[in-house]
Amino acid sequence: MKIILLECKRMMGRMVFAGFVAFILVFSIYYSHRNLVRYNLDEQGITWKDNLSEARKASEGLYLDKESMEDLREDANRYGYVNGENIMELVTANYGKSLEELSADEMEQFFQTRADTIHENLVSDVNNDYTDEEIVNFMDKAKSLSTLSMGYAEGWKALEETMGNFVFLLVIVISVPLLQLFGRDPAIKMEEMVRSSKYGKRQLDRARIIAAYLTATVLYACSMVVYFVIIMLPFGFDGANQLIQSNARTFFSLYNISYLQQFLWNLFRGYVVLIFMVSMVLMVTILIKNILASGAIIAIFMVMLVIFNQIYLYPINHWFTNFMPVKMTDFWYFYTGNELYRIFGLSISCMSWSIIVSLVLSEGILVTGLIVMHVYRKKGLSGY
Amino acid sequence: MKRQIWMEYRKLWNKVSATAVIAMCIVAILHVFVYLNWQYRSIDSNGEIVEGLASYRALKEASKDLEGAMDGEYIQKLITGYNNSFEKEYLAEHKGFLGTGGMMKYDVPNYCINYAYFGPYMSNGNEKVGLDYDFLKSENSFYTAYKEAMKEELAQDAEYMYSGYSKEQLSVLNKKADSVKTPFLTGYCQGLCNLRSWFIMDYSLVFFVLAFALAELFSKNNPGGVTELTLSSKYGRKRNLNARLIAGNLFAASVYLIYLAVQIIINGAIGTLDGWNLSAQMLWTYCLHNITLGDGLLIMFFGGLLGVLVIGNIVMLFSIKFKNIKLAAVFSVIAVLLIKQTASADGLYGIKELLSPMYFEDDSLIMLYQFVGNVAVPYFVAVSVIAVLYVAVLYVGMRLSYKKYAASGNVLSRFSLKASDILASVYSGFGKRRY
Repeated sequence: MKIILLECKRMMGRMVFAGFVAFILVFSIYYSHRNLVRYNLDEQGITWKDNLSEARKASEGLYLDKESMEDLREDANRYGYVNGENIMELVTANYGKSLEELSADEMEQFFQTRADTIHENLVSDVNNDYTDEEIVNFMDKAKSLSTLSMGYAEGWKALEETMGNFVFLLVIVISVPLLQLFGRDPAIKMEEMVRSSKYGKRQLDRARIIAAYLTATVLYACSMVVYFVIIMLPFGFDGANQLIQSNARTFFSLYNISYLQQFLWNLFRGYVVLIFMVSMVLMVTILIKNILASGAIIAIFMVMLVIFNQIYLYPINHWFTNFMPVKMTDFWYFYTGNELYRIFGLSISCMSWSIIVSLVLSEGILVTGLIVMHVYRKKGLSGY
Repeated sequence: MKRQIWMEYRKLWNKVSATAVIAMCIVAILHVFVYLNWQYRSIDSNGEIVEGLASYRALKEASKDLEGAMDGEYIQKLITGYNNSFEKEYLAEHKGFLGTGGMMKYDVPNYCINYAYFGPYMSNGNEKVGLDYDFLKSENSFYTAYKEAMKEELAQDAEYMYSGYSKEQLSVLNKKADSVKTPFLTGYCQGLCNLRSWFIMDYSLVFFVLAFALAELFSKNNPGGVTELTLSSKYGRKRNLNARLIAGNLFAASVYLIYLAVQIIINGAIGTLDGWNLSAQMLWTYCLHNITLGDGLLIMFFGGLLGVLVIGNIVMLFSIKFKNIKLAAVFSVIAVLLIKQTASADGLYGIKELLSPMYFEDDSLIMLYQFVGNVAVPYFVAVSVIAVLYVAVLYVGMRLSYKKYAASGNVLSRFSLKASDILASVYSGFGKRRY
């Protein structure tokens, strides 16, 4: 245990830790600020504070139905600026036209129209080529949404808005100090001495691997708590139980879950990405040994994933990038993409399958690293 | 001096740089192969659909009868040929063909003609290849319409660009549009189009390689860096700084040339490099220079080299400032990420293309102008001046730091040989000791 703690300490020196804390604070505050300024109405002289407090009051008992739409058409400020905008956005997403252009019948058929749009998208999807049974299953979920509360949940929306970017950056930043575990600095000639000592072989390797996952987990958990608090504080924590369909970005989602559930899913997905990155860093540093060379490989691999993400190509997306960190932290995609994997006759959602495959890959990568280390040791190579 | 530069240059080719360059080449090759293989398909000369890498050669073969100058006779022949073609029928049945990676031999001339109609609203797609336009009755009316479309696009630039163009400046550009040499030369150029696209998309890979490879150049804690011996020798200060600097720039240029060679070889092997002599307007629709497509690409490649040299010098400055290889690499990567982020900066059209090295290889070099009074300076000239300024400022920064460079001091203990390093190693070595 002491070796593990010392390895953790070696990775996270004071300067590295200070840099890490600075990163978390700077980015959390930056994202919080970016989210808040969207609520400033400069032309009307209304600040985000007034805007949000008005939205909170006016949204009590508010549902997206014919009545609220008619009210809004008569008086655009009936439910406050934010709630009015939220409803307008959903109407535009559903009909492709503004509220003023809707007929009474269309207002009545709001959720039926949503279901029809989803059905149309499913049928016309040539990439996934859904079976009738899959479409029926999807449509059951689509039709089960027949009412939508538009209560105040701006904090949760803000949280989800920037979480993907934040988690992606966080995972990369956490990976940097891990390079020192198995990576060697040519200026420090300690490796041979450490390896020749009593606990310098298997015990040290085990301790370093545990230290890597332990440090990464603790840093991830603490960072997400800081991010959560900094983003949510100005908005308030209300709306955890609202459905994610009240956000225009996930309006057509077939996951009828709350914002809190969405946050927990994203948190878990981010953690899976972290596990993958830790495994990859360990494997690359065991294989390459040099810290900078390992860093270069990982950086170029990440750039490759970003480049691959620029052009959507279904086979690449389906069989590769969906399990990789860049796409895995593009959280929105998993709620609205409706991508399926057919495994042994079962239709599994991309949301679950990407997590399973990513974890299996992480395990595989780590085992490969351990095998390489074992082979090196057996052959008496490279000080292992 | 030459020998000193050569020695410094050789030192830069070490395990780190070799690993990074190999990784860069693998990613670039993989990216081109995978996407060109899976994304594209074409209609060959027999009216068959050819998919994958073979589609480019098939398209080249089919395009042979459409090569030539787009004069009046050519346009009439093109209209007759297209209206009776299999391709037109096929497009009528397959609405999304051209918008989803489909290619046909009529793409290049038909898109060029449609630009005269759609102007700034031109894009790829089945609905923008028709030839049913009144202005096609004569060569003169076609080129008049084309030049009007160019002017419309320039006016849009004037509106959206950060600095914009004044009315007088716009009239200068309009005159240039009027004097664009016609008729255009058209033909097959898909390989070069791919080369342009993939060269731009993967360009930032070079920056990341430099961030890792050049970080050691002036570091203290690395065998290849600066030592007390270096600084105390006769030519250790001034001459060694220059030798390292020149070697660093040569290394940056070498990495860039390797990247460029990979792109040219791979794209050339897949889609061929045919079409160097076509008019630049086949690719850059409102290019006001009377140059060929090959000239345009050479300008982009030259701009790319300037961008790489700027990034290389930024990394070298970090290396000399921090004197620590790991810190220099981390800050260089952050700098590269920030520079890369300029691509998503809104409201800075025209400025970021001029100032960000991320754009020094962009189409803007050929399409945009910077005015000095009423004199239109093409962006590739303006960018060259900016790049020289960047490098000069960075050189001054490095020179100042190197004058005060001290190899002694506590750098190792501060950054690398931390107490916890020793504790961890000693503990794992002797197990039962207490501290």
